[in-house]
Amino acid sequence: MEILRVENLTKKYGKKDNEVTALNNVSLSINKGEFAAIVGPSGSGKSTLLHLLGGVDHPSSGKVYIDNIDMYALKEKELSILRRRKVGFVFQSYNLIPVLTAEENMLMPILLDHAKEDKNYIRELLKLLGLEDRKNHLPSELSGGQQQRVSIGRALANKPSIILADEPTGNLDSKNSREIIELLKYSVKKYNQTLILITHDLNIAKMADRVISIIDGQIGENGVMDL
Amino acid sequence: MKDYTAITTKYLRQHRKRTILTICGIVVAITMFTAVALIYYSILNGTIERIKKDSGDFEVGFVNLSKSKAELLKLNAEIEYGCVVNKLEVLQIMDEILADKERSLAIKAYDQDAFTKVFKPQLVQGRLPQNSKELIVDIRFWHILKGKTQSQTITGKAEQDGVEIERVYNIVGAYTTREIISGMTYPAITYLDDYADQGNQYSYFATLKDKKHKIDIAEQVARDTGTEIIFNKELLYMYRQGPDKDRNDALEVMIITIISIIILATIVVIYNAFNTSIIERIKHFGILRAIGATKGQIRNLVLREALIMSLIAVPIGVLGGHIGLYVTFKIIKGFSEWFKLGIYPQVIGIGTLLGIGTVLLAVLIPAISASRIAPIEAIRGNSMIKREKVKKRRGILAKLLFSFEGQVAYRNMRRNGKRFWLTTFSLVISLVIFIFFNNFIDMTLKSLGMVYENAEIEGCFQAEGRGRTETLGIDFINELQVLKGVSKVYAFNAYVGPLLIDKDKLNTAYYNDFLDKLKSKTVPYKDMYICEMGQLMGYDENAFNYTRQKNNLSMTYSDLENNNVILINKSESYNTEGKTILGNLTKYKIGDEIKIPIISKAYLETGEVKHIQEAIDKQDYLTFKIAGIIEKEDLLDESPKAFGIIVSNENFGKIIGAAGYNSVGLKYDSKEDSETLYEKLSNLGSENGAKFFDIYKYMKQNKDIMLQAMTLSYGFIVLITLIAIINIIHTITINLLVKKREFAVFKAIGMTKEQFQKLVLLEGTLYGIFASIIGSAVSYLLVNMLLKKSNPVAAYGIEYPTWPYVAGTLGIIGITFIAALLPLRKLNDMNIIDGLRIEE
Repeated sequence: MEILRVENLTKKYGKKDNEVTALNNVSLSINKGEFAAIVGPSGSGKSTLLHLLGGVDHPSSGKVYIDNIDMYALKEKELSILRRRKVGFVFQSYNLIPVLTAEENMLMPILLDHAKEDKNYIRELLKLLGLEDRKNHLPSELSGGQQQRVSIGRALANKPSIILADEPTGNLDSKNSREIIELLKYSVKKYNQTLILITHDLNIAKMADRVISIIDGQIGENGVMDL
Repeated sequence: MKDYTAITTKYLRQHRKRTILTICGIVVAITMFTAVALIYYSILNGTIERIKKDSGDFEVGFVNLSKSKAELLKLNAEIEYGCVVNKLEVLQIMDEILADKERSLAIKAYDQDAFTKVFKPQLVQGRLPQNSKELIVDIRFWHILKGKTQSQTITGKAEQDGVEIERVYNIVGAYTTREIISGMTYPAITYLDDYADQGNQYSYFATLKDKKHKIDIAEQVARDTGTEIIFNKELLYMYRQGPDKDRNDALEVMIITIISIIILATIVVIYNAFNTSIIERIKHFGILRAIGATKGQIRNLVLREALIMSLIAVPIGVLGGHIGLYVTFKIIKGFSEWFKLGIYPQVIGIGTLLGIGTVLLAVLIPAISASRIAPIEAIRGNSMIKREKVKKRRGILAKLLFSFEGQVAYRNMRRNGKRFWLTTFSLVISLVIFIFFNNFIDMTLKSLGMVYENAEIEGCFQAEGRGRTETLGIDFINELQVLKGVSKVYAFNAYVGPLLIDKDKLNTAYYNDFLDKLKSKTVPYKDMYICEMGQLMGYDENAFNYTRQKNNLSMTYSDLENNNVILINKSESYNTEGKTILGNLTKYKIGDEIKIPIISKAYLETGEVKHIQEAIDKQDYLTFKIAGIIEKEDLLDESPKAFGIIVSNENFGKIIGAAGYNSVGLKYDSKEDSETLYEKLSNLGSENGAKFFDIYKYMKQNKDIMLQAMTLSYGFIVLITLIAIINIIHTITINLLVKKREFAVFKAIGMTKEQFQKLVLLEGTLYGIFASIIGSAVSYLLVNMLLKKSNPVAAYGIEYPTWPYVAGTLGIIGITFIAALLPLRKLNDMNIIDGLRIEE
């Protein structure tokens, strides 16, 4: 069942002589429960695609549908709420709020939604992420791997349909990287979520259900590679 | 954490220093709002109380009433309360012992309410009258009476219906009043029990029930009852119900202006504080946006932060404003006469609302810009610096002045246009407020033209009919000299009348500026000008010696006796616009000759200028040599309207044709003598046909007013400056700290510690230099455009002080230097690698 559909997505930066096309007429579709890896050289447009999928940037043209909702036809506020409820982001540089503890960082999307937290679920998440004894620590008191786990926890907290991860292991050593990917895979499977992940690491890409290769803002010659 | 908004309190707690600094700014602002509001309400209430004390607690007076009309008004539904007063009579005193002068009492009769509710005479001796045979008298008359007789009964003649009748009163007490005594007629009050129909000489003084439209209602009542009315205008103005609308609003306009300035200064501080804190947190807000926070939620976070800080600051500020004012008033005595301090709910309301309102207004823009942060920017890790449009600047002047470091510092400073102008703007505002207000105070003090402020004489006798025939003799002066409590006695003659100016010695520029009325008193005749506003002073040796010493004159009294004079050449007068002008009317120099006309009896009697013209025709004048020039008459600290000449008393006699002195001044041994001797000196004066003036009292009153005005004004400046300092330190510190990484790069590429310190300090100080150039120019324009226009002292002869410019400029450069010094320590200690790792 299709959860995400992209139609003729184009993103250009700059104007006139300085215009750069980061994404050029990209179309693709991703099914529910799928784990897709996006690969490509630096500057190929991977991150731009991910940001457009998550609704944090605006396309120059084209459409993105999540659960058949045309994301960029939504009003600003509706888009924020959709992002909060349907999308979970994991960043390379963790991007945690430094004044909040690990648990509070995780809870933030729920709190923004004025929703009541599912205590059992959060406890389960903390346990899954191995953060039970670290939940009251500030980000500055955590290691890189632990910070990324918090970031994953935050992405999962609201039980979103899609997890978008932008090189989540880019700053981590191989042991931590493997653990993080395992964790992501485990959780999307457990909670029936869709995972789209950018990576440079072919070993990680191999773990995906399919690999989308991007070169110069277009889906590569191999197109969508099913591995 | 129960709510996403809890992030606010966490942020505030984690950034304690910044939070405290911002709260300090808000506290100072609320303190000022409270203090200004408290001053307003206490002046208002103090003045209302004083007016009620001085002129009575009534709003409207219905005058020239018959008994029946007075009775009718008592029952009028519009009137809350009132009293009946009868302008009874003027009693010519017949008692032999008191009749040495033409003394009389102006007697009014009060009903019970006039004594207890409306006029409340301030009894200082005895008791209030209880019937129409009893009288209380003005304390000055009481002293005269006590000096002459033990009797409490007084007999006099009064006129009733054209018939002279004899009356006897029993004096039962004395009261103080600010009523001005005309001639030798003293006020007195009796009890109105004989409420007979005595023609239209009753008045009914009333307070109206309605709080608004008092004038309209009073006029309606007057029309309905067919009566004449007078208003207690001063009191009505305090209720903003006076007849002149502009005056009704005057005090409020002033308060609103002051409060607006505080709001402006505070908004800049708080805006800066929040803006920098938001710039630092752009990434956090971006992340929140990325994980689904709406714009509104981000805005709420910032506004909540502001609200929490305001709520902490409100009680401290309101309390601070009250305590500050109480302490100030406690230290500086004399305030209590003018201010009625107290707890006014309005003051607390104004302090709170203005405080919170100002803060919310100040954070509105930062809150909106925080909510507009695009999540993509935070995710990409874009820094502010990368997004800045950096304009190429050369900074050649900075390089010339401060070498390479100066150039880099200048380019750094100008890199972010918005931040640069914002910082400069807040510095400029502080400087402009400082310079403008100091000029404003200077102008106000000059325009108050404080008389007697530095007078040498603390008490002065003036012979009745000054300068002409009645004078005080040497016996009187001798008697004073031995009086205990009197340290110095100065005898002199003062006469305002015609003096001559040679045509070529008239300062035409100043003369042309003269008000027409004054110009008509200085008219050309032949080769001279006759100036009828000349001030001629005849000094005794004591008076001369004081003046000589004060002005370092190198002449003796015998020089003065030998046809030398001292010229008082600084005049204080009015120009055609009615503004005060200060300047020299004559161009005489030391060594010049000056003619003084003999003042004939005919002129003294008629005041006709033709008698002086005749004197000129007959060359009936004396010629003197100017041996000294001074600016003002020092005994009384007075400036002449036109110009003045000091001659010896003997020469004065030759000019006017009178012996003796018309004025005798004295100085007390101590302050207390001014009080204890007053009664004795008044009597002494009265016995010798002279009026006694307690100048010390005026002097003290004026000095108090001056001190109060200065305390309030400088207090205001200090607080505004304090806000400015907080702002400057905050802005410069933040501006430097956000560039940690770049500074680390400088260090990494081999900048020495000294070079680095120079760079950082220059970056702070350049702001001060830049702001002082703009600020001084703006202030100069404002002073010239706004102050000079509204200044009651005309530009002519007035020098605007330059010290506020110098002090302001040095101050602002100094503060920016200190502001850069504070983060310098942190930057100096910074590890290069850590600095380089900082994510921008």
